[in-house]
Amino acid sequence: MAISTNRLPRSLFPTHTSSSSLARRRPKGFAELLGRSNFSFLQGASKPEEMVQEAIRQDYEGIAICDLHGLYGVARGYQATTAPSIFEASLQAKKSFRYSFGTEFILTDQSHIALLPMNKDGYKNLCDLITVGKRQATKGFCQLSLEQVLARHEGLVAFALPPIETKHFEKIQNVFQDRLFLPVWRDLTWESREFYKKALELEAHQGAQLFVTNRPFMHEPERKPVFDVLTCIHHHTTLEEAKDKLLQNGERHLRPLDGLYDLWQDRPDLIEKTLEISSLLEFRLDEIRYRYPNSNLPEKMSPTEYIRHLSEKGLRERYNSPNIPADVQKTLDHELKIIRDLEYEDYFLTLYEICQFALSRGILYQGRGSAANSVVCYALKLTAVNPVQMGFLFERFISMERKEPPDIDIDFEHSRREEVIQHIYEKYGEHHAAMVCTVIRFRSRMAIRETAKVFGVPLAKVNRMIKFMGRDGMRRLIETPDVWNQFQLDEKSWQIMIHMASQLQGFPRHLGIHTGGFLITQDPITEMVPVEKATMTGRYVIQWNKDDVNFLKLMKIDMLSLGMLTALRKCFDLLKQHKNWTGSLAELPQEDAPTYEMTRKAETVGVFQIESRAQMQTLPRLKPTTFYDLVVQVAIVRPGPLQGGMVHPYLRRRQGLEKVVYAHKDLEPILKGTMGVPIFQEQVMKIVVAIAGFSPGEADELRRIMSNAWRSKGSMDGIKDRIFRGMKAHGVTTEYAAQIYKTIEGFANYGFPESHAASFALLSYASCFLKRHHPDVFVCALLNSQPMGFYPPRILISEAQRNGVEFLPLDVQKSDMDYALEGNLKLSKIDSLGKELIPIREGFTSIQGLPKAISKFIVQERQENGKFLSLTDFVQRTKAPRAALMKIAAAGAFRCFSNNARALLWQIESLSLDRQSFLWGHAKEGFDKNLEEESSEALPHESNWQLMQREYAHKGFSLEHHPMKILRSALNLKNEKLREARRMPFAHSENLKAIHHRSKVRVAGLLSITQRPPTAKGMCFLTLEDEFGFMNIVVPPDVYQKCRMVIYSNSLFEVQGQIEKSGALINIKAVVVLPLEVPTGAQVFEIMHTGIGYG
Amino acid sequence: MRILCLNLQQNQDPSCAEVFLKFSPRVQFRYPHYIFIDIESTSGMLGGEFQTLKKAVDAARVFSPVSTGAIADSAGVAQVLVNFRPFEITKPGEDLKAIAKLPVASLLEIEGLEPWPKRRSIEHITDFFQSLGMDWVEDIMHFEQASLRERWGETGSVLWKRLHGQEFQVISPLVPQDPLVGYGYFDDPVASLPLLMEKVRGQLRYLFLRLDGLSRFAQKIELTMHCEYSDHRHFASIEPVSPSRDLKLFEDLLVKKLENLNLENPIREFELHLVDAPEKIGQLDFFEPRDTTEDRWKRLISFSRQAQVDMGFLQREASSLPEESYSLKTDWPEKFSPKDLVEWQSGALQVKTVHSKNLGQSPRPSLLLKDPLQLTTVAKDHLRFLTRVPIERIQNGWWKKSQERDYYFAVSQEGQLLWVYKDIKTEKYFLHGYFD
Repeated sequence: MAISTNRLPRSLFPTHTSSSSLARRRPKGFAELLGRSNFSFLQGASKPEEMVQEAIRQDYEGIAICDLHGLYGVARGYQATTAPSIFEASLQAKKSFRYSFGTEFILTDQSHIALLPMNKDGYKNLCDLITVGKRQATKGFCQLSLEQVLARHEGLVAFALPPIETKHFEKIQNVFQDRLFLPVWRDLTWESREFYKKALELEAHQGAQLFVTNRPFMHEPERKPVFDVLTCIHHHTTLEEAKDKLLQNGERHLRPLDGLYDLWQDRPDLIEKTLEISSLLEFRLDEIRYRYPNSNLPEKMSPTEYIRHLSEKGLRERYNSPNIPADVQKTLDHELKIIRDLEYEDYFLTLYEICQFALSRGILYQGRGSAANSVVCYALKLTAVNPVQMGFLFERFISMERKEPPDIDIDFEHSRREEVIQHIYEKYGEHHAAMVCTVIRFRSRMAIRETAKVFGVPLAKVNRMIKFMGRDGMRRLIETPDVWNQFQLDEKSWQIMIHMASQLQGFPRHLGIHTGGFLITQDPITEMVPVEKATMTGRYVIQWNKDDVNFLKLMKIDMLSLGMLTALRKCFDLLKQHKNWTGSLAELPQEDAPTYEMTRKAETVGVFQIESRAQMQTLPRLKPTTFYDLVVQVAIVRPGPLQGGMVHPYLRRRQGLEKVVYAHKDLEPILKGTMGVPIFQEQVMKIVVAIAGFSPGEADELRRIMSNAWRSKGSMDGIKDRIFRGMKAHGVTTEYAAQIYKTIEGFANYGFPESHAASFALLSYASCFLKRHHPDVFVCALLNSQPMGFYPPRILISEAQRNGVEFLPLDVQKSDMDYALEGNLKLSKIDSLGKELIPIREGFTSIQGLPKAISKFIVQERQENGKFLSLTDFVQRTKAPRAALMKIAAAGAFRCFSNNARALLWQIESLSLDRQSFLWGHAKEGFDKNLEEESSEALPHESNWQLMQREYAHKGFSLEHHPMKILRSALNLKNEKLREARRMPFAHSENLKAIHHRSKVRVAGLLSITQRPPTAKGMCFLTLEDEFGFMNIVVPPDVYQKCRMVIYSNSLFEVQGQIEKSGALINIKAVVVLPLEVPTGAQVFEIMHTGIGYG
Repeated sequence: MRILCLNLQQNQDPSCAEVFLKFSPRVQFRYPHYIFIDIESTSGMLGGEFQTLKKAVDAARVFSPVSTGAIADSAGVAQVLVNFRPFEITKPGEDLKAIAKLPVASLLEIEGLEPWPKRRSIEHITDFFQSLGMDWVEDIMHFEQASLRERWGETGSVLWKRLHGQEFQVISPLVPQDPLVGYGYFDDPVASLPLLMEKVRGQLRYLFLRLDGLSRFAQKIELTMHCEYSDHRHFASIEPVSPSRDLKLFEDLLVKKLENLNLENPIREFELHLVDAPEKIGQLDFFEPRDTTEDRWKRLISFSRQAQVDMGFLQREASSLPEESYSLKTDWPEKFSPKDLVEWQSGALQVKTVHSKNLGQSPRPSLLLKDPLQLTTVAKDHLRFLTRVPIERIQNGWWKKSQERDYYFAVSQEGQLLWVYKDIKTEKYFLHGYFD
């Protein structure tokens, strides 16, 4: 059958102005000027690096990356031209290769235009235009008119992208004149022929300057499927339905030169035109001159003088002496020289100013990371670790060779970081300060989900796939044989789909905001980098992430937040107020023996960093006795050392169970401090230099890759190969090389440099010290800093109670907003070990869901007008709504009016809260006393179990009743029956110590923490708590698989298993995990009142 | 008063009350899934309360398979029972006794025709009782009305009245008003006719049940099916010779109509419209004049089909493959002008590019072969190709059957301009069309 159409080709062979003299002449070269990368978000199928590398491979004279509405990927492209990774097989660009960049805009009249900067002015205008277009628009949108573009044309080259009308072209040409060009391409579609025809008309009549482009959306034609998948995701459609939404063919790639010349043999001049245009684009990204604000300088003082003045002053204060020790002065001079040479003074001074602001507001802060290697940072009070004392090297922070900008991360109190951020915006203004972005990428789940949808897989199946992947990611889908059968898909489609999903992994999806990275500039920030609106109101982000910023040597500051700093500041406030001790973090006594003794016993619930289950398991074996031990302790339980299998050798060597040996004699100086085992990031770098022959440049690249979330598989493979080769040449065994590589892989996931660990260890020490000597102050501050840390208030309170801290119940007559110490001690020394502990009064913050304003008003009213006389008086004075009254009553805070909480609740429900009524605060209908008494008497009695349940429901804990304490009587009864049946009775945490190693045991407890770390090979760790303490349960993978539903749907457990002791450590290896049978309310009531076994 | 309460268990349309008109004219639907029927005067005719309950539940289970029912003096207690003690029939005057041992949370259901104005307030009351250790209805029965009113005002008072059977709710006769339409949505979109029909059949059965309740007949049904991954829709219409309530007939006709439906793009939802008639009516006469051009064309197509000639309107399709870029339709063709999708948001725009939107403008031969004809080497050598490089390259379908073609213009020995392509993979040449 034939289908009839009325349409005929209008022009089979478009006419053009080719002359025979031009024909068949080989052009001098070609530069691609309209490259598009995957930073056009779903509208480009290759990474910027791939585009650049392909252009180099094809011997192009240059490439320009012109992504849509932004410069997101230009830094990466530039890096691929100037400094590709040593470890990846990448090509070096020839000297004449030109890397340019620009942006393609879709204007509000729906026309397209690409703008590329010729010089610095052009770059400023471009950034400005992008900012204008994006600043007020939501993600993915742009609002820019042609008039706005024409108003900022200086220094820019414009490409008018087809389809284009003559009038529109003339309008642009009038402004841009000879800086306007018209791209033409031949991608074997009729559309490109039509565009070319139109371009020839404009060339003939308007004098348009034409040039050739591939108009590439991908670097190689094999990426066409990926581009199609992205197109479908963008359009929310499937491959079957997309039809004309997809590209007609895969010709939009970087074509080999011969093919390109062949295609354009009629117009070689248009190919050569690209070289002419490329030569106009002189601006390079490294020309961005970055200046830190210098507004913080006193008059008649240069930055160099001022930083020296501040540093010396700071050191005198630190050493509490008019003279700075000679070695410290020497180090300071050395550092200041480097800082001066690299012109980093303003950066330090800006940070100093920010920290001074924090100090003036009483906000506690501390620098972390490699900044702790610097005496200047220590002197300016940016960091708290003395680098000279610790033997740290400044070059780990800043080096003349690397010329990388310093990276100073500062932690502020988590509850007050916003004040610091607002200060920055106020002081520097939103035109000089913006936050660094993070690029949200396709990860395995999102990649599979989106790709499967594109392939038309129903959503229910997609969800099943995602569930099936679990934590293993796409690996599980790839490695499971015949997995497609599970989802009723055919093998071919499955393989194609998985291949596409893996290609999609790592592709940028959209922009997010970095947690605390700030870029602050002297000149308007939009002259340096485009800024766009973040999702959070009032926040703006730059279009580069932290790696781009680092590569371009811009200096960012990281304003991070730390809950422990809040807690410590509150500790110091309480110490000052109640124990008459006025000091700060730096003034705590050092190397305090009782503090280390406490850490050795792993009594570290609530302290910084070393409170997790894994840390607590390691502490009794590592047995810290000095500050450096704490530094090691902080660093050792991290994926780096864990994956590298370094933890156990270190612990064995420390315990003297294993001899300290070195795989190579050159490792001794590097690993001596850590007993021959690499624990810190810089040790790994030193190892590869010493015994794998890495150059300092390679080691630095290794560090960069380890800390870069965008590391590629190619670069990791390159590192592996390089390590194995290098170590083999040095005579090191393959096993050790493999171990080092595993450690590197682990560090790439998460690992600490020594200086960073030292900064954290300082906080660990401080929190341990306070916990040891002032457990009352410490727990009070911790509770007032929630949410933070590893443990909920329930655990912190019961732990403190076991340590002798007394908690006083919530009471409207006595409680404050926060937990408060009730009373004072006149202590002259803070290191007194006397357990004169001040009781803690529970605060209103413990009541879940009670508005802050109400509790604040209650406290204020009581302070101003005295105690509340009755419930009616309370209602009338506080004007609290009924819901709040019920919460307060249920939490037990009205105990001053009645001990019967149920009767109070019944009474509150009847109160009139109408302020106009004469019954305000009384029963609504006149309070029929007989009726009221009658109905109050009808209320059932509340048992201890019910009381505990009520308090747990409203506060999450009960000061008086631990659930296990109430249940113990029932367990004791059960034990009698178990003994009669010659079965194992229940033990509790206190008597576990008396049970022999490898004995069978049955325990019961309340779940505190569940952990299943990826490094634990499928093991699950439960921490159960009873009225006496904690119990560590290890659930092997097979038991976990059987009991996982029980674990995740209960909070009280019975565990049967085997006790395993190692030194002071006691673990229970679970064989069975069961939900604990809790007697019903009535049964508990009976037990309570018959008193059988209840103690 | 005796009230039968049905709990249909799934959210239903109010129109479902029409199904139960055969049990009593006094029927009322209450959102989301309750039916209240006043059987005081009709249960005797239907064989007693037990038989009435059984028949009503059976009728409900046709479209809502887990429906339950209960009978009590008041609608509120009947609702409590249907939820907590399904199939219970209270003795007249003993409602309170029947619910005394139920949990206090059951009071949430003591609603009847009038649901609690604010469910939160009654939840608050039951939660409150529970928080004070009162877990059963009998625990609160001894409270005075004043005690509940004092605490919870009107709600407390109404609760007390409902509990003690002192609130009267009257069911009025039902006046049917809802259109006869059905709707189905697939959480897991279907690509097979049996699965599709299963759900359509359910809806159809439900509509016929309503017809039964209304004592009317079906004249025509129209089915519209929406695809999952695009705006595409399929239509089907069934109109037997005369109105009928023969469900099987309509089902069979529908299956036959849908047999050739292409379900590659699965169906996510459908709409079913039933045109009812009071009884059998006359059909439009075949020779009755039709006025519109569309009608005339349709008649012509109908004639040609009777003569087994494949004829229809040419509908342009958005496809890269030329042979798939047209289709024959019996309906009037839709306008075809693909363009980029532009979204606006307070002055800012986002453009989703349709990359091959101009494919429709590309020249295509006036005679296009549906099945391209492979050229022998000799035949190909006799052609004169007008260009060295292909005029067009089409690469499509990589995810299923890959199609990669280079198209050329070529002139035959007879001077005929041809449209020829080379299969890039096999390097074989095919004739795909002739230009005039």
